Amino acid sequence: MDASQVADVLGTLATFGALVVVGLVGLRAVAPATFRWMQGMLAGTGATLAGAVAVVATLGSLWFSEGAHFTPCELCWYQRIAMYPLAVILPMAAWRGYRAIRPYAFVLAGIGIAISSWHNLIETNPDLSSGGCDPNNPCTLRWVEGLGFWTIPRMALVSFALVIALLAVDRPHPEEP
Amino acid sequence: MSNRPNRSRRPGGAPSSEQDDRRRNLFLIAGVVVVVVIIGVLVALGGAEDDEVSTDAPDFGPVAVDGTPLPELGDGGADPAVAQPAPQVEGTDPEGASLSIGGPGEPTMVAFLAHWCPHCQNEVPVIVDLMEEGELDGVRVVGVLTGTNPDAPNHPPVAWLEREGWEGDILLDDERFTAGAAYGLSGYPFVVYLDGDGQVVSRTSGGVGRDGILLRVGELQAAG
Repeated sequence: MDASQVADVLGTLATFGALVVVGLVGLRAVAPATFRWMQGMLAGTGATLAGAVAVVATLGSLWFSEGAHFTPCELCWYQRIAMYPLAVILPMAAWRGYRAIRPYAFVLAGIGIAISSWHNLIETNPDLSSGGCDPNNPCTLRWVEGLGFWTIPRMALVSFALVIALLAVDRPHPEEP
Repeated sequence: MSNRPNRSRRPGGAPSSEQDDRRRNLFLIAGVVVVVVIIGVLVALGGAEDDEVSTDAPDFGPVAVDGTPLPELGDGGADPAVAQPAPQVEGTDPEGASLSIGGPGEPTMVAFLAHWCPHCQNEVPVIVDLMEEGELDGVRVVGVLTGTNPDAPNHPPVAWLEREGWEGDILLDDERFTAGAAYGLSGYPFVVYLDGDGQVVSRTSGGVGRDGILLRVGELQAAG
């Protein structure tokens, strides 16, 4: 598979992920009863699912740089710093049933989503960052557009949002540690 | 006392039942994700044929530089290259015909463009409009295709300029981007304005828009 095909596959996953995030936020806002049912269904699975998202995002990121030889820009590196640890600590926490991982994961994903938001903003409107392109590796460069829309920063944004949403939905019961 | 987390699943209740529920839900979610991945693969394989753009135009051409390279354009202050003679660059156009920039001749606007750069993608239509409106009459306009990367978007660059209706000359830089380096390129788009003696009147790095281009062209026409 070439880079555009991999981007299509990851873009399909990102579309699904974006629908999950929007669905969870929407349910919480307009259908609290359904949201509580969803919370019950996802109880105890937050770290597992968020960890899976982080692992897929990490593997996708590594494939684009090591497989497709796209050079990560500066903002990509900062997002990697936030995402890669999540791919390790969340599966470990899920394996050990260590639910106190949530605040640490929230901080990492929060930093990631903030950087990713800025990256998406300058990618959509390059004039916000500077008037020209750095010859070496500008962050405004769109390497791929999976399904005609999903650039790498957009997929990263959804990944961070999904990690936060899945961990937020899986809130521990008050009597849990 | 240990700091290790309590690994018992749930205090009270029926742990095994909850674990079964959780396992079942995870399998359900994993199944949905697998279906999504399969859909993605099918979409990717189905759309693969449309991605390749065929063109015979080369990405790079041979480049030879004669003269002292210009210093790199800094972020601020006076440009040290102004009033300096630009090096003469011999190269080829997409058809393989010889082409040169620099040296005595007519006033020239040399635009170094990278196909993947969004600022270049914004600036090229502005230059094309100015050419069509006659605002650049008396000025030779040369687009130097540099920074070319076949893996990057909006490739191939020659097809891009043709799509935009570029009417000026096109010179292909080589794989080491020698022409850009010789003119002190520091960012894209990079435009160098040369007078009739081949001396630098001004240089700009980054998009400057219609007014910015007209300002420099005015200086160029005044310098002759």
